[in-house]
Amino acid sequence: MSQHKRPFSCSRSGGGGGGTTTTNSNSSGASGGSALLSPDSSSSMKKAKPLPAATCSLEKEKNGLHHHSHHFDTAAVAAARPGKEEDVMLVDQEELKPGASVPVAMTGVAANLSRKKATPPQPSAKKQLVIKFVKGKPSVPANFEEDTWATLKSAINAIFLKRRDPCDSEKLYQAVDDLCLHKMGGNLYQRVQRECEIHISRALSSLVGQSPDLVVFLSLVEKCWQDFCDQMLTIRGIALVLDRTYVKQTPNVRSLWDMGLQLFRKHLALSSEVEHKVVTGLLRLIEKERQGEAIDRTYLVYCSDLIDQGFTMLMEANRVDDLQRMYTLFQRNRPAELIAKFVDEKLRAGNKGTSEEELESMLDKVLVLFRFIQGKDVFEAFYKKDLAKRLLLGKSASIDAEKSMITKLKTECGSQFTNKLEGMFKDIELSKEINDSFKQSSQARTKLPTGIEMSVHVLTTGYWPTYPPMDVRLPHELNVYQDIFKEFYLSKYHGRRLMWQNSLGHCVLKAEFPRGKKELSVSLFQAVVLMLFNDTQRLSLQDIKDSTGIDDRELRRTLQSLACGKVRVLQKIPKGREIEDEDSFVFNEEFTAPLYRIKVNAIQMKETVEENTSTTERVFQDRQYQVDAAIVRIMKTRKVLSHTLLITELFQQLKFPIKPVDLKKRIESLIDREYLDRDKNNPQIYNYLA
Amino acid sequence: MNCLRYPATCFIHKLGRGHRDKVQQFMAITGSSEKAAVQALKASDWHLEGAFDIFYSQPHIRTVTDSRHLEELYNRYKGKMLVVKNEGSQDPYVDMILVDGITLLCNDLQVDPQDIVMLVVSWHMKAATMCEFSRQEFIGGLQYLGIDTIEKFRDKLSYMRSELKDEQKFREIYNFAFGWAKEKGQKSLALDTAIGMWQLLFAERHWPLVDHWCQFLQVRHNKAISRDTWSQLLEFAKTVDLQLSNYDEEGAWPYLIDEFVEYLTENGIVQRHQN
Repeated sequence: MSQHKRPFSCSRSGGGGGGTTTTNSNSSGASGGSALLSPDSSSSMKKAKPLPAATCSLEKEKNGLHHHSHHFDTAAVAAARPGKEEDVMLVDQEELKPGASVPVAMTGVAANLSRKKATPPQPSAKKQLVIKFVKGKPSVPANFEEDTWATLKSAINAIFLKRRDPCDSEKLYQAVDDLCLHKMGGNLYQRVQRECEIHISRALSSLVGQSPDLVVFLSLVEKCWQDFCDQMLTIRGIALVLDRTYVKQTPNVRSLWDMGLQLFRKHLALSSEVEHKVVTGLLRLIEKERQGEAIDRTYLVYCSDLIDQGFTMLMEANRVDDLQRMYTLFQRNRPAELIAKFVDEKLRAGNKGTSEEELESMLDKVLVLFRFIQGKDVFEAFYKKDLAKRLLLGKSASIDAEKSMITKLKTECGSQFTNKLEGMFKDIELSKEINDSFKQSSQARTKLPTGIEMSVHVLTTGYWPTYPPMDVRLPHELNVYQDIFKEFYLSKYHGRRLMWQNSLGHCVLKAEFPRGKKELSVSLFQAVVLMLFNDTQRLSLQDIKDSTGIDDRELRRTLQSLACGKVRVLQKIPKGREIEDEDSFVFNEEFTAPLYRIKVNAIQMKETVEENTSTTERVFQDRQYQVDAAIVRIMKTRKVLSHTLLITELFQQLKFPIKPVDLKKRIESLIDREYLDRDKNNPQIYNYLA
Repeated sequence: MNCLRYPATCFIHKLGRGHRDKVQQFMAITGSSEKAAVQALKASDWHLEGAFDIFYSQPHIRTVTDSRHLEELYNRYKGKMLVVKNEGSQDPYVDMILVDGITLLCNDLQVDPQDIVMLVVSWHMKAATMCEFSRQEFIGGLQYLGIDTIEKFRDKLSYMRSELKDEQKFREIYNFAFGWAKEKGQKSLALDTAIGMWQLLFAERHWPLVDHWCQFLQVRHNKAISRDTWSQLLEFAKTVDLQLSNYDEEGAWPYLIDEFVEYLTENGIVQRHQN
């Protein structure tokens, strides 16, 4: 063991803090991380084989520069006429170097042709310049277009009819590519659209006259929607080039996904019977749940998609009453949670292909839905939780978009609603300044351990969500760093208290594997666990628990992410997906990965079920306090009040939805605690007890 | 025994049969003299209950008890068990009547310890908790009742039973029962105990829905009962008819009672025709 190399060194790290003023460290300096094998990067696709490199492309015409390479070909020249950009995607000048052959940066076919969950890809309208290799353009055989289309048509049919098609995806992809190459994208688009329309309309019209039982009917619609999503995604995957060439270049042409969506919407609305049944069915379902019957909650998940659909439909048909009804019945809070989640996905980094305008319009749409949510405090709680994560882990797609959303919410609900959210941004900005001055400070320059770079986010409690305190035994250097920072901070800001929030910290570890050096982006807990392996080859679960002091559940989650996921820095003995009490772990000697920098800390962005439940519970608890305070306030003023009048007052004062029975419970609690009592002569009247 | 002065004239032969019976009854129950009985009854317009009240509430005709006898009685029942107290404390005996003493007392009274009359006794004594009487509670209570011997105590039992028939007193006893039956230091009454008490009390003052209420609680609630719910239940039993036609769920009834009404209608126990 003495020969054992210490594979992990912490090059960049961050701790976390909470409290009156809290600190949280964030390696904000981590630059250029390219996400690869992180489990939740929904938009990553498997890399396709690059096409044979033939030549490099030409740069923008306006610079007047031409660049000839070795394999210059006529097609490229032909295409390089002023203004014409169809065949070749142009690239920024800087990227070109004389004689260089530039690697392909294209994404491949959607690997999952049989995807279960319907997650629509982000609309791909962002104009990105991509280098494309221009193949030598062969001469077009006769009937090229018709034959190629025939292949594609057969495939599309097979997808919609859920049959196998003889042609493999690679060939289909090629087919599309060929057509686009030969400027047949327009025709192709029309044909694809026509084909899709036939099938979508068939699927939806098959719903007419189906099951009078609304619940059964809804499940049929849901199935229809599911199938549609899967099928459109597949088709889109095949015709990706179409999206990225013809669609991008032609104004007023929707992406394939959007096109499909529009067709679905159109045909759903064509049958008023179907439309009516869907809406009624949803309303009934919600009614049922409200009465305490168990319903299949998967509907509510799809609701977030169908809400958008239904909403648009109802809006377009001016059925405001129905809309109101739909949303007043959403007394359960899942809609608020779902909408917050939806916004989070949009604002997170990794949304390649969403333009600013599209994002803006989407947020506007969300705001309209937001207006109908009755439990806005639930939305706020979830929004805050997600925003905090994005800010602290550096996951925001665009700070401007974030701020724009806040402004919209402010306009909608007033500044009180957004004060805390704005406070969070201020903290982030202030933290930058603090970090800078810390770096300059004498303490930093003289006392800090070398070889580590750390930055800290200082969070003001009250603005940020509350995080459960999580203990951990940090490596020595990190402890030293925290102490020195604390000393510095408290010397600047007297009378404050700092508490480190370890659950929010993240680090970059330099790792030396036998097969190559890597940089691992990890959470602080992951880092602490991994660094144990600098000293020993193998550790049991118990050993790790004892050395790190991490809470059992959190520890298991951490180990799972290190040893059981896609990126296995450690190996679990015995193998398996779950962490069992008797497990042991070893450093993975065999570890290899294509990229140098690897993200392993995706678990920090993932929300746990516990997180969500506790967020909702906190909101409900908070509501209870508000109700109690309101009752006492009212009774203190009135001294004597009848039950009916008290209830009326409460409904006027309280801003969130609440049932009369819950109000009664609070009144009774206050009677029990002797804030009020019933009148001796008339139990319908309450007296305030001073 | 002090001599009590009574008016010279004796009216007893001038009284009608009914009245004579009442006088006899009064004397038997209170242990008073004939003259006192007549006086009290006349003052209450020949209503027995009113007569009792007058008799007991007027200090100068209250039967004076012998404090020596009372001490003897108390000593007979008070706790004999050795109770280990804190260091330094000398008292080897608990100065209270505990379970054993109460059992003995009931024995002497020829009464079942579960008999509701013991609740009435406790009420008179303003006992803090069931199954124990402090010295003050016991002696003070008996003094108030004019009892200083077991015989007198026994004689008084039927009077005390009759008090349960009085609406006002029943309500007082019922509400008293909550504090008395619950654990010391607890705010609410354990469900099992509450159910036991309800069964006992509503055997005296019949409420047809008591069994359904108890069942409902065990099935749907299964938690302790608050004082408010306890007291409001009596109101419910008194004012709401058996078809629940005059029940107002928008009213101030405790939510548990709202739920009970729902339970009754859902299970078809009551066919509700709302006003």
